[in-house]
Amino acid sequence: MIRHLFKLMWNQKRKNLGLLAEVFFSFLVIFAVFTFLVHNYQRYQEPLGFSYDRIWTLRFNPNREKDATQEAYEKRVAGQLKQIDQILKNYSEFESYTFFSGNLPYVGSQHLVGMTYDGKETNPYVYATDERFPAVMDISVEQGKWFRDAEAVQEGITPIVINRQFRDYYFAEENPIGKRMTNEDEEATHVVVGMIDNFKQQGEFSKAYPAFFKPRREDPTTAMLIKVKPGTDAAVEARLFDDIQQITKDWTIDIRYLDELRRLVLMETWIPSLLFLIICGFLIFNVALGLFGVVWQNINKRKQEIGVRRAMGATKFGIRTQIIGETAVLATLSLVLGIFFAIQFPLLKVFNLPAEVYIVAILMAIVFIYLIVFICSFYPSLLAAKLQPAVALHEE
Amino acid sequence: MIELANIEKIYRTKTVETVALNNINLEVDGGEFLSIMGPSGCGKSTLLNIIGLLDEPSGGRVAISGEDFARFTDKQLARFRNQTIGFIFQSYHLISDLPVVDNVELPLLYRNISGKERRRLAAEALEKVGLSNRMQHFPNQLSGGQKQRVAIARAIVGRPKLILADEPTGNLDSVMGNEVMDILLQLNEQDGTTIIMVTHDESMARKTNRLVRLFDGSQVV
Repeated sequence: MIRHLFKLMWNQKRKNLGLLAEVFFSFLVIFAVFTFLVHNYQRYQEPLGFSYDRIWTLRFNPNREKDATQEAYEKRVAGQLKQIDQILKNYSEFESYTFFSGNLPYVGSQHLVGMTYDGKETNPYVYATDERFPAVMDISVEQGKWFRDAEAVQEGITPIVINRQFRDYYFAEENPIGKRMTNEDEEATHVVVGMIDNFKQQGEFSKAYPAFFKPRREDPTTAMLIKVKPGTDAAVEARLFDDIQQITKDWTIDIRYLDELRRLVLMETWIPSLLFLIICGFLIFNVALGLFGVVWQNINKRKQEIGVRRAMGATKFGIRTQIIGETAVLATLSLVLGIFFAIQFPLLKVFNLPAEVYIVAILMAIVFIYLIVFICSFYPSLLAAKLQPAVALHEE
Repeated sequence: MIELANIEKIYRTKTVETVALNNINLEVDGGEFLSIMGPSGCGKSTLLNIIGLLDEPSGGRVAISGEDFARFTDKQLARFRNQTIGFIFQSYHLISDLPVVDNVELPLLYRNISGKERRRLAAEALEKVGLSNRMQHFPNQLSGGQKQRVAIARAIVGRPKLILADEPTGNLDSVMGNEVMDILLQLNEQDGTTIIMVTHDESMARKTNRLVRLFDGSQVV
């Protein structure tokens, strides 16, 4: 019977061209959708690397025009930051706080620096902070230790803490602790003192990129992260604003909640994703309707054949499985062609995505196509099986 | 072999009731060649469909070889049709995308028979109707008479006890019609196959053992 059906389908290849094309293009669309979903899901699943709960961000914009030289500016800002540090110590509502460079988590700002080690060169993200940072962000050091503020004052040596991606890129499986590196615009030698896991500054959907943290001594820090105690409200925020304003006078101060910033960043991914999914859902719905139509039209053209088969001994179930089976086989032929094209993506490393993203997307698209094919052929097959043989035989 | 008792067929819509067959009583013995005649729309094909278990009567009883089909499941009916009845249709109803030999094999696909055996039986049936040289031809490469001979080969390939032929010569000229009729007569005489044939052609009907006439759904004595 299988050979018979294959022969029939092969001889009807021209008639089946519509269905073959429909499934082929549907597969490519669904493959694209699943690639997008799998890729984002995989990124979302990767640990963020820090906590965003009960954390406030403070961004300062010191007025530069006041000072004649850069040196004077830096000296003035450093003095004012020291005063802010003193004030914050008196806040019982704060668990801890840390100074941080302007490239805060969930803020679009990025700071990259070229780093070289053993012929390997890339531009990791760099963050300037202090020894309180791990406690504020609930980050644990996987290897080595976090640098102490006292270590930061040693001339010619900059202790740095790297993330896992940094280690993987520069040192592979080697122990990174104690490794010395230089960067493109500093003469100081960077010594790796510790390693943390992920640090996805741009949020859950961003790529975990090589990054390192260094003491803030050279950088006029322009931001802070404050871990507040549970229940800390806007009144504290207002008091903090006033206290800082007293010291800084003409600075611009921006206080935000990190979980709020996170929500905004996630929305930037969710909203286009949702729109994309709605469009794809509409496309898939149309594809399903088209497929249903093609199968239904196919059955209408073959009513006499169905009648003959029933007269010759086919059961209703036999007719149903034949229709579904034929559609599944045709779908398989289209899928083979579709997979041939889809497999080029991991082979050619298109969009530089990991191969497993494409492989999972291909597998999911295959299952999805078979599901659609089954749903779209089930009802027509049911109607075909219900055809009265006597009526079917007299169809023109 | 066949017993029809008080067969009725009524097509009902919301507003109209059409009586297609009314109180048909008929007995057909094994090995008989019976023809059914009547004007168009008198219910000949409906009666043949009911005998062939392709349609259910609205009332009455059909028995073939002692089997009563009132409680047969779809699977049992399909099996019975497959093993006991061969069908020949006026429009041949060959599957145009399959070569002759595959068309002839069709009833055997629904039996547990190996591909090799199916091919042998199909070749044998085609030999009987004189078309063994056309096995790999497609239906559209054949004349009307040849197509009907293929349909006969398909009907006899499973060696059924009963052949139901619905105007088998209706689409053929007299020469081809006679050729087809000769094959049916031969099957009846040599193999003892019971044949019920619906026809418009009086000359063809006269060649059979018995003639039943229908008019407006009723049997005319």
